[in-house]
Amino acid sequence: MTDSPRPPEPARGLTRRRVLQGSLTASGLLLLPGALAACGDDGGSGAATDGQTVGGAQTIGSGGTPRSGGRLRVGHVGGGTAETLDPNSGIVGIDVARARQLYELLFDFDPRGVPQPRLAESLEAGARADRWRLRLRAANFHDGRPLTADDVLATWRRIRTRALQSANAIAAIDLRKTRSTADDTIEIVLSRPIGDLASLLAHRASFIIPAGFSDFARPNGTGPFTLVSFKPGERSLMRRNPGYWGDAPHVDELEQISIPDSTARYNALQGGQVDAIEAIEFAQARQLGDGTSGPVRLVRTANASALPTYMRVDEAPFTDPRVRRAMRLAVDREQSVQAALLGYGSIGNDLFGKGYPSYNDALPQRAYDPEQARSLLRAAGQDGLTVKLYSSRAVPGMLEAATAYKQQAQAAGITIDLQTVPAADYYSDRYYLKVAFGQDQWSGSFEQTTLDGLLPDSGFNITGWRDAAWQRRFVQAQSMTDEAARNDVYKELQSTLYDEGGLIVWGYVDFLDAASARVEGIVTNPLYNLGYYEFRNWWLV
Amino acid sequence: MAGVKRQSLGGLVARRVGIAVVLLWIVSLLVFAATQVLPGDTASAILGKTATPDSLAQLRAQLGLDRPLLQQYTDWLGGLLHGDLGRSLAAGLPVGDLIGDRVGATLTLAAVTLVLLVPLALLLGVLTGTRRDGKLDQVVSWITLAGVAVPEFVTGTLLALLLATWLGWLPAVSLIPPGESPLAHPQYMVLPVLTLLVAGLASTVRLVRVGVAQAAAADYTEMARLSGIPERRVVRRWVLPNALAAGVQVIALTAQWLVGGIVIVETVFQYPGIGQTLVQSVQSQDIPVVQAVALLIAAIYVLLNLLADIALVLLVPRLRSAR
Repeated sequence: MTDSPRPPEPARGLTRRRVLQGSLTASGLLLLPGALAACGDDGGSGAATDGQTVGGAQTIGSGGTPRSGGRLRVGHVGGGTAETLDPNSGIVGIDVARARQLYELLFDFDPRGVPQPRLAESLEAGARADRWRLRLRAANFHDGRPLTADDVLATWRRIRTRALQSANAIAAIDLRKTRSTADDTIEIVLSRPIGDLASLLAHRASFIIPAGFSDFARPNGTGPFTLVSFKPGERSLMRRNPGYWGDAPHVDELEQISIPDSTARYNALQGGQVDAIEAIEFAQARQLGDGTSGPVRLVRTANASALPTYMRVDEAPFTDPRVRRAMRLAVDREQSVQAALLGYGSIGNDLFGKGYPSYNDALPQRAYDPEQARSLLRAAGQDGLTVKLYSSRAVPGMLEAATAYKQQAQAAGITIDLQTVPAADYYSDRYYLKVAFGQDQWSGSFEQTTLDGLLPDSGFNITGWRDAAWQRRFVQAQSMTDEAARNDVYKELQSTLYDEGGLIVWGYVDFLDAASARVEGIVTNPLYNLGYYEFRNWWLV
Repeated sequence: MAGVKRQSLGGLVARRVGIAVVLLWIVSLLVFAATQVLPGDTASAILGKTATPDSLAQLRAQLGLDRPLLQQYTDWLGGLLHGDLGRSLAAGLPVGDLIGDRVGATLTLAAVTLVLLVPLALLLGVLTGTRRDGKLDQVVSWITLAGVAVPEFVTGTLLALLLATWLGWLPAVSLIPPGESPLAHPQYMVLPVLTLLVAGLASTVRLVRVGVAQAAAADYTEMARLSGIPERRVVRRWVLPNALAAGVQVIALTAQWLVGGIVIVETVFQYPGIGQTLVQSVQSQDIPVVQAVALLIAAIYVLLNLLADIALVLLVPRLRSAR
């Protein structure tokens, strides 16, 4: 196909989006906290299920023919005065949500985690996967200028020189040798072969800006909406872009409002002041019942993010693989999903990337087995083990999960000494990446999370993983252009992690959002809340 | 009385102002110290989980967080004295620009609340104070006791549930468009004002009632009654002026709890004032904004108390003598 390779691949950093949110919500407002936080899983029963499609690409609403017109009002967690219109710098959900309306990426992840061409027309590999030809579609910026190869190169240079969020994703592009060969064509040269370049170009903050552009207060992208007004921490108003190259938005106007407090956000939706909100609490989701009837509907996204407990394989007592295996058998996953997530999630199998094409679902589901855990510990000479677990309210459900684990592990003779850290401090350099046994939240496919956490240059090696042979094999797999063959190697690498790795992925939490019954056309996407904010596809009835 | 000396009003005011300035300086120390002990710092809040030791050090240097504490404090205080509130670390804008509109919104909310609250508090206080243990007194007492016991965020949430979610009469959230006056959108002010009124009336009515009851039972009032002066006149002539003095205290007291109450009410109703800014800035560790807002709130607090003190002295001449 002329379009690009598919499988989701290394968009580094995809996983960390909740970062800021976490700290925000943590203290109660919101921003993401749960900011976007409370999240969710398959639209199924609250019970632990094992949904295999990412997000299940669930469509919310009763369907029907799209209607044009009206103003769509969305309540976001917001990011306070730190909200920005710089599309390459935004971290919190609302920044991404705005950038996605005003600007566009070369490729965009669909609900199954597959990169689809957006501003790219095609992407073809050379004989080896270190040379690619990228062709752009015909599109105009808001000021009428056509999109050209120079704009793309300028965007990449800006991201690289300023070390912006997507810098890692495009790190393999050799910008000195990469050049445009026509107005709409770029010959990309990579420093090493990469079989799935499209996934890298789909990184969430690599929006294409015009060459020489710097006045971000007056956005000039190719996106489906144009900006009317913006006040950070309060709201923005956008209007349908009449010159948009693709399917124009159904609604005339889009208003995005920051409502950090989760109760206020929920009240605003209930009272009809907004049409949809992101990040509702577990308890609020429960109030909405199955969420399919009534004036307000639950928008639930499956397998949204993994909630791991991590062990550093290079620190005692976790240096012994038997101890790591015992710790994995000492968690009652079903109970944790019920207790910590009120059922709005599904159980995990100690691996990231559930639901993505590269996920190894052939491995047996690990179950709660305190007896076997006890005998493994005895064999390792660690009978009656006591370990310190660092937890926090930084992410909804985290502390509850740690508390449940503490009780579950007692049956295996393990004493978990729970250390609760203030939410605002949890991801500070005082604790994060400093403790041997802690909790975290990750999203993205196996490949994406591996780039972030398991390679020599990964910024977030929470488990201290340093298996050189394993890492070489991964880089080798990355260079393969045949998707099926590549995924086979990825799955094999996962079975090593399943046995030897430092992760206890006990569960996945759903994204939980809500929308008025007036809103149609929402398709959930496990990358972000509210269907990755594809508001152009929504309509009001 | 021995040792009593008259003091000029000017001298009294000057002394009070002097005390206020010292108070504000102490507050600035406390605010600065408090922001230093917040967990985490701005750099780690901005970078979040993406932080690396290098990027943290770089950002800290860029934000001036690597200066010695004493220098950070004196730089900040020096800026304040020149009217420079500093620059928001999160937004990169001058703090003044950032909170200007919001100060106006908060003051509007406070003013509307006060304008309604003071006459209501006086009216209910006088009615109940002059008819102690009557039916009205008992009912009002129960309600105000409950009002004192229930925190603002509970009152606010209950009112929103009743008036917005169930009855649908009012908007649950005060989504005032940026740059517009809250007065142009009265529907968005009802719930916040109502919540502040319920909470504020509880304590103030009780205060006025006690003042009135005391005046009504005082020796000079008894004397007036014994002299055969009709009760209505006794109330007007001896009881009410004392109640008015209590009214001034009501304003001061209300201003005091408004400081705390508004932060909560603004958060509950998403009212775009400085209280909400304060909460958000604490969460994003935007220290210059936290410091400016906290100091501003303290200054308003001190100023209102100062005015109340002076007004009280004007109303009750006997307070002008120092013991």
